[in-house]
Amino acid sequence: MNPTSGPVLLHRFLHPSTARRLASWVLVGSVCVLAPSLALVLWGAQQAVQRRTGESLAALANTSANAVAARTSTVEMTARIVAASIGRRLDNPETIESLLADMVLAHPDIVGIAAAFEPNAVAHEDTLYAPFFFVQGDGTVRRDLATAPEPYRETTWYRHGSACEKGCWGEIFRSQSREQVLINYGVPVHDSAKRVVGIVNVDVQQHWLQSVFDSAKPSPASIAFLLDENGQMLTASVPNDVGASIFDIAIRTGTPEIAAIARRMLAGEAGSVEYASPTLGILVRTFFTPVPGSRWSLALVVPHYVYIRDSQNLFFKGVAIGLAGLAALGLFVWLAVRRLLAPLAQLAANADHVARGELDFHLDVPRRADEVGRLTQSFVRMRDELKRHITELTEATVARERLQRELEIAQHIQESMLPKNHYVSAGAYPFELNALLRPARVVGGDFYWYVSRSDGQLCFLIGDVSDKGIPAALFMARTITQANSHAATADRPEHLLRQLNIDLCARNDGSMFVTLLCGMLDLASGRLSLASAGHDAPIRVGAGHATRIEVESCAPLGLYPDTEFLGSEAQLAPDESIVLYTDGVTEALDPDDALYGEERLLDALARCDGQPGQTVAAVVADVANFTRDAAQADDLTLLVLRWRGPSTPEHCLTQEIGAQLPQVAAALDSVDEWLSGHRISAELRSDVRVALEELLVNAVEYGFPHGVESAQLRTILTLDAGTLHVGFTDNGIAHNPFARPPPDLDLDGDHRELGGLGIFLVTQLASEYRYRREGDRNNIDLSFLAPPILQPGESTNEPASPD
Amino acid sequence: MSLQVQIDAAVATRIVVRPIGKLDAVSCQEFDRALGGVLANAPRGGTLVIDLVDLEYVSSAGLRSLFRARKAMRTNGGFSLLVHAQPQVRKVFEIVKAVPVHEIFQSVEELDAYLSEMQRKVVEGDDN
Repeated sequence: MNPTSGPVLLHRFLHPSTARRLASWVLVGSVCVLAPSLALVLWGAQQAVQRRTGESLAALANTSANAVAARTSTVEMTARIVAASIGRRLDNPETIESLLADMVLAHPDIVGIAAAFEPNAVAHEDTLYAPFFFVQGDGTVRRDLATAPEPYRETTWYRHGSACEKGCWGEIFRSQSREQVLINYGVPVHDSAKRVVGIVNVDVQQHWLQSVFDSAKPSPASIAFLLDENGQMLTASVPNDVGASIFDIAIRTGTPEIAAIARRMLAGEAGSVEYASPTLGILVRTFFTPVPGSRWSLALVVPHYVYIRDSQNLFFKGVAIGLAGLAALGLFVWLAVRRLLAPLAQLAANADHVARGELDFHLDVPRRADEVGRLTQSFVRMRDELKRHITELTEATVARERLQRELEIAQHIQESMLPKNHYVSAGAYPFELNALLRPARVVGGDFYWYVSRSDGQLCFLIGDVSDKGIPAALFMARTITQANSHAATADRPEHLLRQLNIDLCARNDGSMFVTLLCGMLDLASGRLSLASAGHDAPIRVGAGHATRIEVESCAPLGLYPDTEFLGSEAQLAPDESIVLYTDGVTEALDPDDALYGEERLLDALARCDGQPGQTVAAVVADVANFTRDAAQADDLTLLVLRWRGPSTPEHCLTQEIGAQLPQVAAALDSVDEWLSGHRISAELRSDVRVALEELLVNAVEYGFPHGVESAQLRTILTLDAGTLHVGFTDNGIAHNPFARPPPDLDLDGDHRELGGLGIFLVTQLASEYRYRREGDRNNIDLSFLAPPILQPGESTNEPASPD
Repeated sequence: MSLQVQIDAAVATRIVVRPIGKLDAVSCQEFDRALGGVLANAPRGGTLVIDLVDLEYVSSAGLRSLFRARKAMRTNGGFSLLVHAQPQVRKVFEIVKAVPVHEIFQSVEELDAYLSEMQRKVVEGDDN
């Protein structure tokens, strides 16, 4: 036995299976129903058996009484015949004697017979005549009672017998001479004149009476006794009691019930009485009945346990049979239930499999169409459905992941179509632009776009396609592409919108449309041209104020090809910003479905300090604070353009030179001087000088292969809030120096290519660098982080100049 | 001019060149010209020491001039060494990883120790 089987058995005992519980309950129910019925039947049967036992014992007593009567009646009959015969032979004593001698031998129960006569009643020489024959050995012995010391006519048996008309049984006595216990029966002898002239007295042994009872005893413990009419015990279980009076015995044993029984016996009654016998120490029942043809009465004393033995046996048998039946029933029920519920146990085990996700198990489907069979079939069907469902789910997950990857790629593509979200232009008319696009889904229909044109105009636009998701993203891509192609040629925003509208209306079967706001900012004057295709009006933000710029709004793009768009004009003051947004901002919802609204946007913008990046961040934070946990419902786009106005000379250095190296050196010296004048550290001055020299030399050497006559190299340095912007513009051939891969620096200095090092130095020294081709010009913007400007009196760590 | 070049060729096998000022796209031609004569007359297996103590600025054009000088020395069986690079020059050198680090020396003492070591190696090589 393994060590766990103990606890397992205990567990099974404490948590029995359904089969065992069902069997137990059926068994308990059966016991509850069957036990009372069985008890009732048993009780009735017991009563019947007891009654029958009583009847059979009474019958036994009767039988015994009849047996006694049968034996005694032959004795009585014989005695009467002898008496009658003698009455007619009084004159012939010889025949009397021979009759007596024959008779005592002939009758097996008679051991002695005497005839005694009144004086001179018989023709015999003696006056008194009383011959007596008794059995001794195989023969008979004759004795003359007349010669006995006691005169026979005075004996009890003679007087008793002669007084008894039809013969009477005498008292029991012990014959000393024959050593026998005897009972005598006396019959008077009549002469021809019907006078009593003597008696015939017969001696009968007592032991045959006893033998009758012994054969009739129902059990060894039973006793039987015979009473004569005087209450004398003719037979008894104790030899000494023979001949005793039953009343004496009742007194001696202290059993008044015996005396009561005896009185009923002497009255000739039959019946039975139950009482506790002090001599036997048990409960006994005495059956008594009169012996027919006599005044004797017979009693049968049966111990109570013998009396009830049969019924007890019946009871025990009944209980045993009942228990065996219940055990068999329990076993049968348990087996049947177990067999019926076995598929359930299998189902339970397999349900565990399912719970663990193991679906490939074998299940025997019962052919029965009962509940268990149907349940099993349903279970198998459920398992199969589950498998199929999981397979489908796996496939769907794979498909969804693929779609997700494709969406992410689409998102990257869409992002790549947008210009950078931060643009700073140094130049003579600096501006800064910050934008933010936050799609509600992975891809969206909002967009912004801008381009700095060679004619000094900054063209910018913001749009919102009528849908969301992939269709909107595709339409947005189409819009941006076409806006890009028209932006260089359209001279006013409304012209750009008109061109775009015509393009977008063509082959627009999906009837998608886009609201769009387009603006062009003249960087030199701050003059702003605007045109709106159903889009929200922009907002002008200055120091501490934010107001709408009213723009004539026309139909969205993509709907009606003949829409005419109207332009509007506005003027920006230096350091003012224009803010463009989509309805994702103003229609952002809080958890209670309240709109963010234009008023909140204006308030938020009025609180901003004018830095475009911070303005965008502040608006987004304000919207997020308003919507709290609500999901973003729509794409959200913001574009903030801050115009700085014309550069002030003290913060800006502009130089324009030809493509000559000496001019380059002079320009670099001017830069150095200007930077020094603005107390820029020597290290940064060197960095800027190296970077600018590399760009200028690069342009001089490679930018003008067809002649340098018309070459224009313009450098613009702007110092602004800790950042030094360096702009470089030339009208040489289109060339992006940053497109070239960096040189392999791991090669030994003697073997590496010497080209490319200069541009590499630029990329390493500037904190930002950017190239764009605008019109016929190459534009390069560099940014340097300018350390805090030193206060007068502090050392600028100027290196010693040899000049 | 933004660049002057001092050349000490008193010891034929050890030429010391000291550029003073800015070595940029313009002045590099002057530097090349000044060095050209020296390198042409340098004995085979000599050492060129370029002392950068007074070079305040170098751009990629200057770097190329220095590389050309080193290459010329190497072709001639000699070698070149750079000493006393100033912060700006050192920064540019480090960005482009222009010179193996062990060939830039902070001081003349460091250089002499290095040269003695080289000398010893050559002598032992002869013994073999």
